[in-house]
Amino acid sequence: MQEKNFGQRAFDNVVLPMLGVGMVIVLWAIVSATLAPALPGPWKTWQVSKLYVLSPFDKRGELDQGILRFTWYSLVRVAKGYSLALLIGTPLGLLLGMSQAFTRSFDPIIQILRPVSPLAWLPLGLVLFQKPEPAGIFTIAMCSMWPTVLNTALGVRSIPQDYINVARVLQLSRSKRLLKITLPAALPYMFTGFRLSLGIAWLVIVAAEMLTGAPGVGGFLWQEYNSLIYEHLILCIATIGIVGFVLDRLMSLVENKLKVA
Amino acid sequence: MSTKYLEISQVSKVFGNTAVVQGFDLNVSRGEFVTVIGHSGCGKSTVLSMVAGLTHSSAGAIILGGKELREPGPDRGVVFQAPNLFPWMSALQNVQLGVEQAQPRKSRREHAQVAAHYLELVGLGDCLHKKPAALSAGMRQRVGLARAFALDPKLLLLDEPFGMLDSLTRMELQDVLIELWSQNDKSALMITHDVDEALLLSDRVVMMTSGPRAHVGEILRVQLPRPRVRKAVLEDPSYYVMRERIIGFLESQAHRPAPAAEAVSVSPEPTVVPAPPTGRAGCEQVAS
Repeated sequence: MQEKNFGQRAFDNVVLPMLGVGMVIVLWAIVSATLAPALPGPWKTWQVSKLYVLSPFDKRGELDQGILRFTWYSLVRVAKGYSLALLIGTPLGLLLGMSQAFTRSFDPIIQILRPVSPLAWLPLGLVLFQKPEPAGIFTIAMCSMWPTVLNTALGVRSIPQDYINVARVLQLSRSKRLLKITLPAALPYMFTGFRLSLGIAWLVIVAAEMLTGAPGVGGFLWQEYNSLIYEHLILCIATIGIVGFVLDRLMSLVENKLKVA
Repeated sequence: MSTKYLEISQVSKVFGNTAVVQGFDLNVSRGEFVTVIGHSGCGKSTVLSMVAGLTHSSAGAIILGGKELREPGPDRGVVFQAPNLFPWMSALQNVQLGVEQAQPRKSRREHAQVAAHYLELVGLGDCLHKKPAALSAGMRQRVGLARAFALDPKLLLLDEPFGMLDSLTRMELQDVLIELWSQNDKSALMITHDVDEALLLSDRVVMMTSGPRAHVGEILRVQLPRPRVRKAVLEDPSYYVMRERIIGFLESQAHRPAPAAEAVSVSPEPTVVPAPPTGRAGCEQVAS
């Protein structure tokens, strides 16, 4: 196969994606001008959002802050919920992977809890914690832990019998087997779980902030909807999408590094 | 004759409804090198796996140094067909892992020294810190050998350790094995399907019948003088007589009416050409 030269690569990786974005913006402009007059057009969206984008870290009031400042609040919240999810999910996954009895006992309940929507968890969190902030973190953790649990368990179950035989022949102790064999062997699977979990954690943030009114991208979105500033809905959607995309890229960079090692 | 060290008596292994191995009897003395040879799928590896303690026997007893075996133990070092190294550890760490477990009282540094010593013995002194991915197949199996020897076990169990290597590398590693074994004076039980390998290395060659219900068919004592050098072994006239006998046995097993479908998987016509006294022609003939 022939190596593509610089011009071709630039065309593939820059020009074509920009063309795609451009086409969507044009389509958006047409739709908002014709079919959906309630939808703010691209230019109007930019005009109204400019202040939030160009000075992204300003704080003018509790619910009137630069978009990146809001994003930061959301990221911190997600980080808390996500860390909690990993702290609970990883050991749970290891147990599931290592013990048949544990799997038989708890797999059904996991399969039942897994599809529950964040909108269902949040009220329970509010009841449990009486405050919106821990309720939001609880919701993020409850929703995002499952891919970590399931992939960790899968990783442990997929350890080749040969490795297990070596561990038995060398008479490795339980703790050594866990640290030196099980964890490293399952790590690539675990990271796939971590990446998927992070995606869900970010997905849940909007729901959590919408219902609790906490400052953040999701809270801002809900507030602007109530204030009838619909341009900001689009600003928020774009921000959420871009941040989610960047997070996923970062995680897959780490994941690929692990696969090579 | 020296004392029996390993006694395998009337051992059977049943998988489902099939007795893969039935009534297997074999004794191995201290310092003896015994090879078990037989067709693929005849249950050779099952026997080894039972001695290693990785599988339980369905009947019979395996006694090592006077004690019945049920679990793996530090008295046995196992070399698998695939090197089975952990890819996230360097060669040194792979060997060290077992050393740490076998000699818990020693310090970390001493563990590393022991591991490095055995890697040097197998000719990998320059590759201590390389990951398995950076090593060739032959080098990886050298690490596998070092890992087994570094435990300083009384009994070595080798499950077709060179079966996945090309013939040149295989010969190199056979020499490494002879070297290591003669320095350490251990008992060894090796599984192989390579007749020349069996003759070069062992004191006795145990020929297994084809499964199911595989057991010991014949035992051949290899009287070639030690230390053995490949060239001298190949020039010994008795070598070809013994070789003929083993191949003859294996052939008779291949043509035996197969009691189950499993036994038919053997190549039907291994051509027996008396190997010329020079060179290594025919090295690969019986390797299935």
